[in-house]
Amino acid sequence: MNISLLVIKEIKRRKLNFLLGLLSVVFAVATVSGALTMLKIHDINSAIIISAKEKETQERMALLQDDYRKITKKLGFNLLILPKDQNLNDLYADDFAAKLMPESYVDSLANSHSVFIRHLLPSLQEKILWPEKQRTIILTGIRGEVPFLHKNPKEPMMVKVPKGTLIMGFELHKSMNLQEGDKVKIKGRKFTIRKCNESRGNKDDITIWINLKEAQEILNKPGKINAIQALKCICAGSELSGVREEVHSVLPGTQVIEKGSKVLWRAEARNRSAKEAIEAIEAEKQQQLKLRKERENFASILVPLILFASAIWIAFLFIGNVRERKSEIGILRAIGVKKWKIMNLFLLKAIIIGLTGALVGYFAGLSIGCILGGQFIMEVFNINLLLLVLVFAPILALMAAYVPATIAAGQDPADVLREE
Amino acid sequence: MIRINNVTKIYTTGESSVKALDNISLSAAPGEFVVVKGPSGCGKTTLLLTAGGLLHPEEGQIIINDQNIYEFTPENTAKFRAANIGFVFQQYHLIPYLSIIENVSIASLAHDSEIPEERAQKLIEELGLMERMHHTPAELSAGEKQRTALARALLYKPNIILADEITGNLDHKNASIVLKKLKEFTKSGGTVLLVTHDEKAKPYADRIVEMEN
Repeated sequence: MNISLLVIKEIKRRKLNFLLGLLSVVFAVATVSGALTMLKIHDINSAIIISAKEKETQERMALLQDDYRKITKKLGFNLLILPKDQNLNDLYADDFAAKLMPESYVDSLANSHSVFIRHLLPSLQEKILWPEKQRTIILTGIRGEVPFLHKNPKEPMMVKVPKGTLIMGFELHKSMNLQEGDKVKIKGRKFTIRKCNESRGNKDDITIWINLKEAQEILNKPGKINAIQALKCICAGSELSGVREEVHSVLPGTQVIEKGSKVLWRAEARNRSAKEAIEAIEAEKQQQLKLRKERENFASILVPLILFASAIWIAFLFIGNVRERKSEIGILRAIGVKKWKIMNLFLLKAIIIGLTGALVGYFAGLSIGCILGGQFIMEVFNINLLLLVLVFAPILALMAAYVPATIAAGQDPADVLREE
Repeated sequence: MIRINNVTKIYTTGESSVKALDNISLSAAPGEFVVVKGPSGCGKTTLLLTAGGLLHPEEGQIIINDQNIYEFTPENTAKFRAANIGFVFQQYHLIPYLSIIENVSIASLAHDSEIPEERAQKLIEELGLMERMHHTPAELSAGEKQRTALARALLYKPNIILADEITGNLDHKNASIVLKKLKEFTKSGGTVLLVTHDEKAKPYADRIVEMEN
């Protein structure tokens, strides 16, 4: 005969007492396990929701970005790189930059590892009187787009104008009734009209585009240009300050201005949209965090209360058990069983209640948590928590049973035996 | 050998006190069957519990095998009791959820080593309980219960058996079995101190001591 056997026999005899104690531990552990399972499910669900929102936003942003890129390209060049000493007042007043810079600047930029700039178009532009027609025109010399050496070639936004040809603005060819293939002279030099542009409603309508080399000769400005038009990319960090910094690092003698308010509006709209999307995700995160906090607070009040109530309940059950076993304890003490062995009769029972309750309670809580959380997933099984409750539930039961066990061990056998 | 020397035991409840034993002296030698008789309430059970180291007397000594048992620490008293004294009570005090063999073997809880089961079985057989060995106390008659309690007391071969009204609930046949077994115990050198007012014990007693109120 040993203590363990005696405890097991006693449990079998007083099943209700054992089951009530067990139920108490199961309830306490299930509350802990259920609460943590629900929080875990909440975390998993939150992560899924936020991840889905982020993915959706990224996709939307990618679409927006692509749209914006296409729109921006359609809107034409949005950057103007000018000589540093060009007065912007004059630029806006005259519609062209009067100051000059070397044509080689564009090659320097094309050879650089620019991140923010796409498409480079050097030009020499001047408002002149077309002597042959007595018309004021903007003569623009272009040499076609200069490709970036380290980037994949892009489809040019502006085609090259071959020597001896020109492209004519709408107002000019319409007012003079000129057509493609007609021949005209500009300052004595012969040109064939290669293309007549549609109306654009701006200064382009009084512009004539010719080959840059020829423009430099006509305007007597060999090797010079007065602007490089460029397209700013739609990418992270491509704010004007970043672009300027990049251009200045290659061409310190220039200034960069952004043109085309439509482009800016669209960029702003896109940025606002991006910002709103990020704010929506952040709001969702905050909402999920708030919900979690509320559940955490609820659990942090409920769990200690239930643990305390469970401990009290176990203590009362054990006190009842001690009273019920008064005669048994009396005779055991009378035949010489030591006090600590009497205590062990109760403490071992408490450990069995704690261990069984922890095991049953953990899985009960897990199931309840899954039902309430609306998900049955393997991720919620937490071996560490299981081990933790397997350690702490017996400790809780031991603590609750300690005082009754001490009372049992301290019982005077003579009192019991005399009473009988 | 047990010697009860000038023992006085007083029960105090609040301000009132009752002298249950008043300067009692008694001794029983090894092999002696002593019956202590007296009317109800004269302190027979108190004498027995005091003699067994369960009730500390206000005065006097209990000497067993030349040792004053109340000079021990509580833990050593328990150890001494387990090794030297066997108790049998009128109410049997069997553990209700254990079988007969388990109730007898329960005495091993008081010892550091378990006694072979054969010893428990032999005692059960000697007391005519073999067929009931795996029954619980609820399934036994009063006589069978008392025989089980006696087997439990005898399991570790104590020097002294302290018995309290053990035949009070038994018929003549069962009383006779129990008393014969106690007599047998004294013949093997043990001491029996039986407190009772039952006349059935008289023929087995080597000495009868009368207690007065």
